[in-house]
Formats: sequence, structure tokens, C-alpha cells
Amino acid sequence: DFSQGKRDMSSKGGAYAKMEKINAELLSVTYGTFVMQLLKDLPTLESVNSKLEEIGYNMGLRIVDEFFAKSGEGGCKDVEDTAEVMAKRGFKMFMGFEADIKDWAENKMAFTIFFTLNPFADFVELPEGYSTLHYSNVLCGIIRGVLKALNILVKCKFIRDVLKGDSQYEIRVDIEEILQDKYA
Amino acid sequence: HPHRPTLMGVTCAAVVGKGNNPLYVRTFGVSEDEALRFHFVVHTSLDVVEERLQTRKGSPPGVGGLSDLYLGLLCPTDDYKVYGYITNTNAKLFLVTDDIDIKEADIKSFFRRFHAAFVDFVCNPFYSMDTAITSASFDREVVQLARSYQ
Repeated sequence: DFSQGKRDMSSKGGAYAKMEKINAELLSVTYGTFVMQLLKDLPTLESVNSKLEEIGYNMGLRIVDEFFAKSGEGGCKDVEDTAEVMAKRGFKMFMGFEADIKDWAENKMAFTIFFTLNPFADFVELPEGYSTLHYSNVLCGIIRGVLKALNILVKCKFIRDVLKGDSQYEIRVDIEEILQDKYA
Repeated sequence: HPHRPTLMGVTCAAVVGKGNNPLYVRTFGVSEDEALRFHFVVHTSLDVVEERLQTRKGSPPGVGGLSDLYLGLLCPTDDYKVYGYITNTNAKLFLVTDDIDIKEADIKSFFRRFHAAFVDFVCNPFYSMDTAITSASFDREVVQLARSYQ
């Protein structure tokens, strides 16, 4: 039960500080080599996108518990709160920077998460013919996994991508279903 | 003295792989016909690089520190001077200049920055090591780098 607990604003950087650090370049190079392997092994760019998302989903399911354990966050009272905590605290803890939320749908069943940094894609230059590849799609999967662990079923996709010339990354999150008993 | 316009004396910047295969040859301020000549200039400079490396008795580049990577003036031809640099993984960088007054400190700093741009570039997972470099953004970086030695 996550309803107890308070949000400690003073430890904004606290959760991140507690995490073990590795060299960001190691992450970029590892992920890049991994994407290249998928591109070799799978038949289409679309299948690579799906595989990256699936892998991210499995990661997301797992990191939620770690997040709550290390961050001292309590439960989130609603979807908007969850989105904000994920973008600011969650991203900060695992990626080292805060993302932000915008463009909430009127019925609060969709939002956009946006950010400018992305260690997965450092040094990457997409060659010709890769415009349908969502290189950082693991992030969409992670978000879907994180929210699934919190009983919010979503679909995510990149709508802006710096690797394709946009000024920032934007992921559109569409909420399909909120399993009610979580927020009873 | 320069009779053709060049970007501050950097006439050509080149990257050659450890197998002596040219990966990137970028000329500045010369016509397409003349650009081919620089491929040849770089190629002949490779022999000089081999000689210089022989004198190091087969120890890997960089063993003596970063200054070990700079190979210095390789060949002065009638119109140009060719300077060389070797990376720790045996890729060779070349600078061809027609600037008779170019300072060694500038050459060394050019190579350091050229090396840094190359290092960042090879981290691109889409680049296969030891193949021709066709990246537009690497090219832009090199152009910008060359411009900064005005």
C-alpha cells in the first residue's frame, strides 16, 4: 500500500545521489551496439522498434519498486500526479535529469513527456533510410512498464526525435485504462 | 604565396585507416580536379609515416604520451606542407597546408581537435570501423575546425 508516505521536496536530488553511477558513454555505446545487433537480426525497422519497446517494458516493470524504495516517494493520488513524479523524480533518478509533462488531453487520458537530453542516443547519427526507426524506443517501453506496474495501461510513441532533426524528444502517452482498485 | 583562396591555410584534412585506406579526404578552396591531387599527396605521405613509425621500434603510438601521436612535418612539396598525426589505434590524420607561416602550436592544436572529433564520431554505432566516413555532421565539424584557424 503506497498511500502512506510524504514527498520530500528537499531531497529532490537525493534519490539520484544515492544511485550508483556508471560512465554515460558506456551506456550509449552498449545501447548502440545492441540496437545495431537487432538491426542485423530482425527483418524490418518496425520489428526493431517493437523489440526495443518490449525490452523497455520489461525494464520498466522492474524499476518501479527500486524507485519507490530509494526515492522516499509515497503513492501518487491521481494520474496527473503519477505522470509528474515519473517525469521529474523518475527520470532524474535513472537518467540524471528531469523530463517534463505538457499537452494533457481534456479528459486527462493522454499527455506528452518531453526532454532534451538522452544518453541512449549520444553520438548517434541516423543514416539515410532509417527515418522510421525509433532509435530510443526502449524509453517508450520503460514508460509503459512503469505505468503498468502502477496499474495504468498505456501506449507510448515518440512524436518528436532529436535524431530526426527535432529540437527535443517528445513521447506521447495515451492512457487506455486505469485499473480502478489502485486508486480506490 | 597562396594564389588560390583557401580557408586560412588548411588546404586538406584527411583520415586514413590503419590499413592505409583513405577514410576521409576533405579539401578546402580547391577545384574538384585539384582535390584529386590531395588524395595522391596524402597517399605518398603514408610512406613517410611508415618510416617515422619504424624509428619508434614498433612500440604502439601514444606510449610516450600525447605528444607521441604528433608526427610533425612529413613532406614539404613545392606548394604544400603535409603534417601527420597517428591515433592510438593506428588511424592516421593528415593536415595539408600552403601557409608558410603556420605555427607548430596551431598545427598541434588542430590535430588534437581533429582527433577529438574523430573519437566522438567513431562512437556512432551506425559507423562500421575502418570504412569511408560519409557523415555530414563530422564533415561540418571538420569545416568548422578548419575555419577556426583563420
